[in-house]
Amino acid sequence: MKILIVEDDRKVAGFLEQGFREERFEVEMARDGEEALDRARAGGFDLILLDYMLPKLSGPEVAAQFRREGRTTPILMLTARDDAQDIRAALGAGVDAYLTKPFRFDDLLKRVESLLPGSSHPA
Amino acid sequence: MRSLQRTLTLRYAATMLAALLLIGLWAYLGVRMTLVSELDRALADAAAIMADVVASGEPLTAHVGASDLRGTVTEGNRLVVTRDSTGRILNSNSRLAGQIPLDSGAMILARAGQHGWATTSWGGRKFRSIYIPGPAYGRGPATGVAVIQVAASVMPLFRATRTILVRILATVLFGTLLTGVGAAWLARSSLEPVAEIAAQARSIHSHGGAQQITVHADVIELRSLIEVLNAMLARLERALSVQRRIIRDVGHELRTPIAAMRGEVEIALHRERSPEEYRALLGSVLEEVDRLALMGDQLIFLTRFEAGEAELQRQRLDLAELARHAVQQVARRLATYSVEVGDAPDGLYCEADPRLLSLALEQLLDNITRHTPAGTRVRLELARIGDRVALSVEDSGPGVPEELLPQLFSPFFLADEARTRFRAGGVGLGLAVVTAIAGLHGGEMAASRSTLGGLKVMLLLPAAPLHPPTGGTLKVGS
Repeated sequence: MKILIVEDDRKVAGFLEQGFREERFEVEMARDGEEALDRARAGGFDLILLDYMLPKLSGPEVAAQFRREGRTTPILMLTARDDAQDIRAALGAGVDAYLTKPFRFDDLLKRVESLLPGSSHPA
Repeated sequence: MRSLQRTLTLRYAATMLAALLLIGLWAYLGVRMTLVSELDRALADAAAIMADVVASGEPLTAHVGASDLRGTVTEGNRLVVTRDSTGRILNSNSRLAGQIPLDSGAMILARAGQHGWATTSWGGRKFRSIYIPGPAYGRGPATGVAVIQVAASVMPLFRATRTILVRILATVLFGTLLTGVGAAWLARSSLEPVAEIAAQARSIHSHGGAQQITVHADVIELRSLIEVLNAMLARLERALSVQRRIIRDVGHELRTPIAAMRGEVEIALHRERSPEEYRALLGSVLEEVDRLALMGDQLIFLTRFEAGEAELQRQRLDLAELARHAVQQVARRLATYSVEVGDAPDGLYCEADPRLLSLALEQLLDNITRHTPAGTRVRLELARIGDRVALSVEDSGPGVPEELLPQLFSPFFLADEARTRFRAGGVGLGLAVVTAIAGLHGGEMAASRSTLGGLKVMLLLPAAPLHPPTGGTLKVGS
C-alpha cells in the first residue's frame, strides 16, 4: 500500500514516515500544500494522510482542489484543531476522516486500514 | 448618586421662577407707576376744572365731594379745598374736604405759582393732593392769591395694585409649576437616548461579538459619544480577538510537540531499537521538552504583559554574546540546520532585559526549526542602523507571501485567520511574544524577504552608548 504523508512539522513527519514504513507501507512525503497536490496528482496512492495547517495551501484547500479534479483517493486529515467549524470545513472539503493530535499511532493505523480500498472495516 | 434628570428639572424650574419673578416685578412696578401717574393726571385735570369753577364764582358745593372717608374710595370723588396764602380754608366742596390736612411744602410751591404734590395720611387712609395757584381773593390789604387743593384717595390704586400683585404671584407660581412639569418631561426625553445607548451597549456586552452601537448614531449631540464608545468597543473586540486567538493557538501549539513526543516514543516502543536510536529518540524528546518549556515562558510573559505587569529588568547587553547564547539554547533543534552567525560590528549594545530578549531570539530561531526542512540555511546577523541596533534572523525556507510581510507583526494580523496560511499552525503565540517584547523595549519588529530566499525577521531596539557609564556589561548566560 502506498500512502502520501503531508505534514510540515519535521518531527511529526518523521515518526509518521518511520511508523508507516515499519508497517510495510510505501511512503512519500510532502511538506506543503502545493507539493501535496503535485504529488497526489502524480497518482498511485491508496491513501493521503493530510495535515490541516500547511504552508502555501491548507489541508482543506488541498482536499477541495483534489476532489474538484474528480479524484477519489481516501483522505485522512490530521490536525491539532478540533473546533466544530474546522471539522465541518474539512469534511465539507471532501476529507473522509479526521483525527486529532496527539493520537495513538495504533489508532491512526486502524483508521488508515479502514479507509484503504478493500478494507473489511470501513471507517 | 446624583440624578441628572432631577438636576436638570430643578435648574430649569429655578431659572424659570427667577425669570418669572423678574418679569412679574417689572410688570407690577410698571403698572403701579402707570396708575400713580394716571391718578396725578386726573387730579391735575380736576384741579384745572376747579380753578375755573372758583374763578367763575360758582359754588364748590355744586361739585360734591364724598361725605365720608369711605366714600372717597367707593365713590371715587374728589375733595376740593381753596385756601388763602396762610393755608386757612376759604371754601370746600364738602364738610369732609374742609378737614383734609395741609402739606406746607406743596402749599409753598403753589403760592409760588407752581403745582405742588403731596401724599398725606388721614383717617387711616392715604390721599394724593395737588396744589395749584387759584384766583385772587379779598379786598384792599386783605387780598391774596388763593391755592386750590384737590385730593383723592389712593385706596383704589392700592387695591388695584394689590390685585395685580396677587395675580402676578399666582402666575409666577403656576408658571413655575408648569415649567417644572415640562422640564421633567424634557429632561427625561433628553436622557432617554442615553438610556437606549446604554441598553444597546449592555446587550453587546452580554452577547459579545464585533457589534457597534447604532442607536441614535444620527443625533448630532450624541455622535461624539457614540463614536468614542464604538472605537472603544472595536479596540476591546480586537484585544479580545487576539487573546482568544492566542489561547486557541496555545492549545494547538501544545498539541503538536506532544503529538511529536508521543508518536516518536510510541514508534520506538513498537520494536527493539539500537542504543543509538534510543539516544536519538531521547534527544528528540528533550528538544520537544525544551519547546514546551519555551511555550511555558511565553505564556507566563504574555499573561503578565496583558495584565500590564510585565517588568523590565534592563541591563546593558552585549548583543553578540546574546546572539551566541540564543543559538546555543536552540542548538539541539538547529543540529540539522546550516547556521551562520554574522560578524557583529564592534560595540553593539542595548539596554534590555536579557531574559526577554533571549526569549524573543529563541522564539525566532525555534520558528525556523518548526517550519522549515532540515538543511535549511539560517543566518543570524547584528547591525547598527542609525541610533538603533538590529538583530535579524533569516532562512532559506518557503518564506511568506509578499502581501503579508508589511503586516506580519500588527495586532490586527495576529487576530486574522488568514495569516496561518504561510506558517502553518501555532505561530500566533510566538509572534505575539516577540512583538510584545520589542514594544516593551521601545523597539519594533520588521519582516522582509531574505536574500537566502525565505523570511527575514528583524528585531530593532534603541542602541546603548558605546562606553558604559558604570558597572560594565552583562554577559548573557554567565
